[in-house]
Amino acid sequence: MKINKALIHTPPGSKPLYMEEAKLRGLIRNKLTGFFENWSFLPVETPTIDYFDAYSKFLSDKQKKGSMRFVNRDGDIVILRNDITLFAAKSLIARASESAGTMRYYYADSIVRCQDNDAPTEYYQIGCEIVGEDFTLEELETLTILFESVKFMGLSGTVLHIGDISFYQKLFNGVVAADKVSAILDLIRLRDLKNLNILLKELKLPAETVADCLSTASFIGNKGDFKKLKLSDNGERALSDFRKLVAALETLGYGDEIVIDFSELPELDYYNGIIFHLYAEGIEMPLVSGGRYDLLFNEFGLNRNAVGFSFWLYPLEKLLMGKLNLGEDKSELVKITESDLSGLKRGAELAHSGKKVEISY
Amino acid sequence: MSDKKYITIALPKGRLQEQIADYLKNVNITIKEESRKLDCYDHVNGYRFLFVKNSDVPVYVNYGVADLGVSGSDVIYEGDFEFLTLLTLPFGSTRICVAGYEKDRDLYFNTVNKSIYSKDLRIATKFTRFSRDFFLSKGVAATLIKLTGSVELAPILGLADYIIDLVETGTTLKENNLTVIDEIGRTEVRIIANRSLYKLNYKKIDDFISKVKSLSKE
Repeated sequence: MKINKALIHTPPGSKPLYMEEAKLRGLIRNKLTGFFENWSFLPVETPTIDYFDAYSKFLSDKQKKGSMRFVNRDGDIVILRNDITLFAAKSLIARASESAGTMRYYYADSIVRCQDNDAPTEYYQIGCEIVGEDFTLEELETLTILFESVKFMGLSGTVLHIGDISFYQKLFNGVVAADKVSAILDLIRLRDLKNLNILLKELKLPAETVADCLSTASFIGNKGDFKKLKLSDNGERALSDFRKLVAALETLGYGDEIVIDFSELPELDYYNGIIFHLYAEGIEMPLVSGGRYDLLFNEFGLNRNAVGFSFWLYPLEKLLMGKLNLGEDKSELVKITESDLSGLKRGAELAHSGKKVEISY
Repeated sequence: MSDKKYITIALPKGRLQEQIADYLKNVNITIKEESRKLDCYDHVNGYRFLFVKNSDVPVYVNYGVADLGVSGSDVIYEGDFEFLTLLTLPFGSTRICVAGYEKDRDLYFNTVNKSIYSKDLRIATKFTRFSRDFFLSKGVAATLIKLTGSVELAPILGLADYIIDLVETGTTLKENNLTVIDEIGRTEVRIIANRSLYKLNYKKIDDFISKVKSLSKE
């Protein structure tokens, strides 16, 4: 029986990669993961399917709605991997609890999620993470690897927007209830200053806290502008670690590649430090997402620090299509006929010696 | 930081487009629609305006064809994309209402406010996402029927008991012997931005927003 023609196509959101596209992805994967290995990161492979309940408290309503879930034969609700950071953290809990050392790991894998109103879509992420105790310079190391990865991949026209959620967490600590902090951060993330003003007024916060919040929420600028940003003493204390980080990035020569942007905030509650996205000219979505997320490990019952980032392959491939050498080196053409198959042996010799061969008959 | 020459702004065709054009004239931003043309340029300020169907504004912004869009909050909500909300304009606000025949008023309020169940409410609307969320929040069983135009016909022809629609003066309802039963929300006109494009062009976009903002007391 012939297959229904409509079924030859994949459902919306799912897309096979053919020939050059697949080759490009492979090249990017090898290049980036090789680069991470040069920084002494080791690979992790996360499961494709896991128990939904293990992750549900970390997911926003929107992410829950956008996840692919089903019931397995034991009656448990399972979820298709929708975030590698989450899945990797859970996978590493056992390992991390046994060892006090720092773990540096990378991954290259796909996730399935429904981002907006479209059908569930398969995305591919390549990233690296550092997990350990008593972080000192790990955020800086992570950012350095990111800037150098961008350079290593030959990308230009990119800019890193970086903010710090811990600033707001310190600013509102003991002053605003947790659910209200989430509401405030959502409005800041969307740069909805009108409703932010309304909410801050409703909460009847100290005038100084409101002024600091509004100054940072509306701030976006380069390192020079950031130096001019003045907050209250309390606000400056909450901002001091971030100011040091920005100064260190400047010292390392990355100052012109960043925009300080306090609306860079996550949708998830487990972040507690720097938050950043890399944007690229001509691309309508971020190329890289990352940040500090100790709270995720804390929620899993471990006192660990964690920071990392991941490249989103769809925009990266869009940027690199036609720019990376897909290995189109000359191949040797070897002819064979039914009566003379010796060419196949010749082809094998070439392949074993690392040369390209093309068989013709 | 991008050095792109023009910021692209998607505008909804129709009355709102005219209101926006009149409004922006006050800060010397020119929107000049030529017959059948789908876009126009303000070369002096560096803006390109796209004229698209109201419900398509969020789509053009989401996919990065336009950096910014001007759209009603109802349309944005139905689109279910996430945008930066850079400004709310001081005009174009409208009520979102449940309307129907006067005789059906008690049935509606008994069901929605007093949880007295008689039957599933049948509602015709363009705003299915908003309506679904409204009735879910009230814990009310409602059957929603998606229509794309002339929603007032639904009760007349027996397709639905009620409609949910934007109501300005109520004249159209009156002409069809319908009445506002419940006001369940308000829409406002917002300037939205694609997050990534905003981040790449924030100086030019913030400059545009400052100009528009200078016209209102917000």
